[in-house]
Amino acid sequence: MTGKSQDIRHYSGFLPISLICLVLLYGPLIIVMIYSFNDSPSITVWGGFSLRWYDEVFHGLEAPKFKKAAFNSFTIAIMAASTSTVIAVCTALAMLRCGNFRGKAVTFGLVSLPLMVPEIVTAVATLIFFSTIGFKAGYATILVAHIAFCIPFAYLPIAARLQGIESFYEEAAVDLYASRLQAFFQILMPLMLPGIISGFLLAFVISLDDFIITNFVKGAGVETLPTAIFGAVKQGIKPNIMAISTLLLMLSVIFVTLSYLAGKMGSRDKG
Amino acid sequence: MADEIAIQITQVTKFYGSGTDSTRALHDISVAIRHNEFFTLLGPSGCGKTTLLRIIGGFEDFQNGEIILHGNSIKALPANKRPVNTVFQHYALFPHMSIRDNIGFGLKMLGKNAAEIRERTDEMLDLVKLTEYGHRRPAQLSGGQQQRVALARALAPAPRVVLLDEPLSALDLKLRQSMRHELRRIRESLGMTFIFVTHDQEEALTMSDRIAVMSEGELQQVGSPEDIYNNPANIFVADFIGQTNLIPGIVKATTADAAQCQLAGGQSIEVPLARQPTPNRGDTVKLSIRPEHMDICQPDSDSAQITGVLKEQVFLGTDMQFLIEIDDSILLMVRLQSTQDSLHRWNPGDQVGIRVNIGFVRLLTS
Repeated sequence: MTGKSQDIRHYSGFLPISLICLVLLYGPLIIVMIYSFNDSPSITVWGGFSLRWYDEVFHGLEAPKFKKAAFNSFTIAIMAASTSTVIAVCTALAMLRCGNFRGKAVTFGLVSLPLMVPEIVTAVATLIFFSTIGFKAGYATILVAHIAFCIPFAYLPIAARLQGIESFYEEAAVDLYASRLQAFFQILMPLMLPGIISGFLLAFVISLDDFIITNFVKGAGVETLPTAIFGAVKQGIKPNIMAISTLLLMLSVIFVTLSYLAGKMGSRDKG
Repeated sequence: MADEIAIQITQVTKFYGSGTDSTRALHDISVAIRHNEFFTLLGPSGCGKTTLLRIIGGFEDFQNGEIILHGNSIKALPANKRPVNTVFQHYALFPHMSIRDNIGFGLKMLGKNAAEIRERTDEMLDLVKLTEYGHRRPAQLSGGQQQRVALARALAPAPRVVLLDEPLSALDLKLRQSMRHELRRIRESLGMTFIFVTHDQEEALTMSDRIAVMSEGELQQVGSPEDIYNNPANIFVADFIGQTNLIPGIVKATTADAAQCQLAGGQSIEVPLARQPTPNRGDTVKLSIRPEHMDICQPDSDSAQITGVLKEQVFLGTDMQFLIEIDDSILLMVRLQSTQDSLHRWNPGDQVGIRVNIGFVRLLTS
């Protein structure tokens, strides 16, 4: 589309800068992935290919602890993503389909603020909030906190999708005797679906990966995968941590890819 | 039955915004649309025609006035309770549904049973000649086909009135012309009231039973296409519909059936008053003379009512257009059919006479 002179590859220094960025970002990840297949118990010396640390993750001494943490992580991620997606859909409808209302700009700011506030601030504030109202730390506090900070991540793809849907579809539905509820469920929601799926998956991954907030609001004894990994690392890095990290990384990659594909799917059959 | 009123619009006024910021969208619109009529709202963009259509459809509210549909007020009814369906400008076909489901949507929402919906959908597909395409998605159809689906979808629930919001504007010229006939054919076969919005005067003239010309939120004139073309109520209508020459003049004298008018530049012309109101002596008027109501002759011939200098001639295919200067700043446009032999007798710079078909001249004051 752009001419050759516009091509970013022609700027001097493009290649080395890009390589440095890519190596810094992905080098450590690749090393973790490679060493998760290391036969040696040392984390720096290569001792041949083996799947023993994966076996250790599922059947080793620490397996019950990690299984429990994985169960917590997944159930929390599913519930947090579902709830925040529903809230995000409602928010997007209010922001984009209900005309102008007082405080609209403020609402948008509030919705997207968690993306900009340092996570540690949110974590501390959430912890103080829970202890002030006397909410006992544990599974429930993690869930509530996750629902709250997942909303902006679910909101962004949903709102982007809704913005691209012309309002005449709903008008046509209402013109053809549909109630507002029918117009939403039969016309608008199917059209929004790629955005909703994308928002859900993004929220799911964000919840699954979260460490800082979770670590603050979790009670003693309740762990999610990231906090369990952190706990294990504090007693020395063992190769089984690399195996878990690799599994978690694969899962994230799969979900982010699905989220991207869901977003794509919509833009193709639109109009 | 023929004169039954489908929609009676009384003194509808609409403002956007409030207080001193408000802008007037519609002012005191009153019009009666007859049952089974092809009624067109015609005007330039921003004249309020689409707003009026959306008010009838229930998509816009309005401040004053009343709308009666077949004897019942629909002012308080939401859009989904009005027995009125719309063909939207961009069709608004539901992209995730098949053509059949699109057409059947209204019936489904009305709670009709599956067999009835299937039967009616078949009927509609047949009517718009798309029987083969029922299982496709809208994106797999051409613009003209999507247009016909949008029409079928609006017709399927058998509404009392069908509203069409510039439905042909997205089509190319050839398709637009064939869709005009198609629309008329379908309306005549079903016997429904159509309210059609367009800014295209040719579309309005060729399709409508009656036309309402709108400008700046007000109705300028309501009448048959011939009536609007031949007897424009004011300068706006004369200028907007077709082409016309608007020549400033002063009424010098009036008799019972004619007015003596002096044109800017000093020449005089006598205009019969058989089909227009009598102006007052001394009135400043615009004489509306359509280009096809004039002919060119020798400047000294007895039939020459105005004389001028030929400035330019342009070949337009079926017609030849002449620009004739009758005063320093006034150019008259005259159009003759290309088949006439006399076309090439004149050259730019020649002094020519103009014969005016005087019965078609209109004196307009506003």
